[in-house]
Amino acid sequence: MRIQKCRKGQIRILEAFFAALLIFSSLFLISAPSTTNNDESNSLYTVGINALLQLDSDGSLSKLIKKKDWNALRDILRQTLPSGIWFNLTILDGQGNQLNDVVISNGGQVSDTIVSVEYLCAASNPSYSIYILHLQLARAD
Amino acid sequence: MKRKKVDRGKSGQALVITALVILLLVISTFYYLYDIMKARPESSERSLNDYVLMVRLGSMHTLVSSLANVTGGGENQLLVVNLEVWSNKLKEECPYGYCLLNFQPWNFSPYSSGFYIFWGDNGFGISSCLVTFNLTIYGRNLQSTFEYSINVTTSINVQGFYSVGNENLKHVTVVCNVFNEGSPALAQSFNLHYQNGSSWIQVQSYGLTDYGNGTYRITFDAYTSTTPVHVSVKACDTRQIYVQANATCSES
Repeated sequence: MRIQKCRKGQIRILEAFFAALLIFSSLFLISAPSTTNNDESNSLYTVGINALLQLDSDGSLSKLIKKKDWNALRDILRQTLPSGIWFNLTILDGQGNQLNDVVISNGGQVSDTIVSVEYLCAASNPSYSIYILHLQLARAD
Repeated sequence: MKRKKVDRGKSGQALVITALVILLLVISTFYYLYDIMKARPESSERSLNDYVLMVRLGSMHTLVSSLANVTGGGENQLLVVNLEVWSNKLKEECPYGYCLLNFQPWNFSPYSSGFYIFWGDNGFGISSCLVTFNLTIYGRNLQSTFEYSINVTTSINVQGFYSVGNENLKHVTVVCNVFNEGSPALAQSFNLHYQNGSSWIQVQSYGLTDYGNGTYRITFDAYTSTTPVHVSVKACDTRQIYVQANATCSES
């Protein structure tokens, strides 16, 4: 009986250690958040929305959309965004119909990690309208 | 019996140590999770600031559009209609959950229903629109309220003088200063009239000197028997907002 009681205690300790080991090992199973990926996405998002805010600040964004000058819009985005960043812009009207009949992009997709920026643009000209812009961005791998 | 007491004591020590180890692990787990959660609010806060900036810009463009329309002959109610369209679109496309934009057109003197349009006879004219906004954003672990007001104003100062030519001919020079929100601004076009008796005659051709700083010098010939010469200048700024001022020219 004495020996059995002694062994029971040891097993409890072993159990406790195994439980601790299990908890500890479970931490490794949780995939660590890839902070670099998050930072990368945040940085791309900031770059994208700042480019659109800059274009919209003087009302030139809505003017270009109204004139349907997609080439000028593509050129301005190409100049505004840093080199090495791929973009693809889709413009919808207030009812969700696509306005741009040509691709507003600077080439083929360069990465699978794409950041999407949604932007609402109100026109400042007397005939009021709202445009919805979807800007997709990716950094070259 | 003595041996049994010693065994129990040793077993307790080990359990206490084990409990401490487990406690340490639990604490480290909590710290680890806290560290993960900590990174998220910063990025969402940053994107929230960008979103608010976008809403403010859109609100300003809505006011510019409404003022341009109203000064061009549109109805005053258009401001509320346009702001409702803008507010509804923000609600539909809110990336955080629920975005509510309330607006209140300024109704205190000299503004009425958000507008103050005074095209005076003393050489000064103003077209202005003022609205206060309240933006509330509800989302997961997020509730923010932003209050801001937007004022869009185009004003003009007109001064003129003339010299008498043959018979009813007057050589008129008008100096205009255009302002946007109190700062010198460029004009897109001018439309001028002068008074002859009780009727206003449109100036068909005029000489324009643009000083590039919101100051314009306009010269034209007026055939009028009325003295002194009364002129009316209607300017359209680069935002397509109209403003007008009448002035009495002095003889030089």
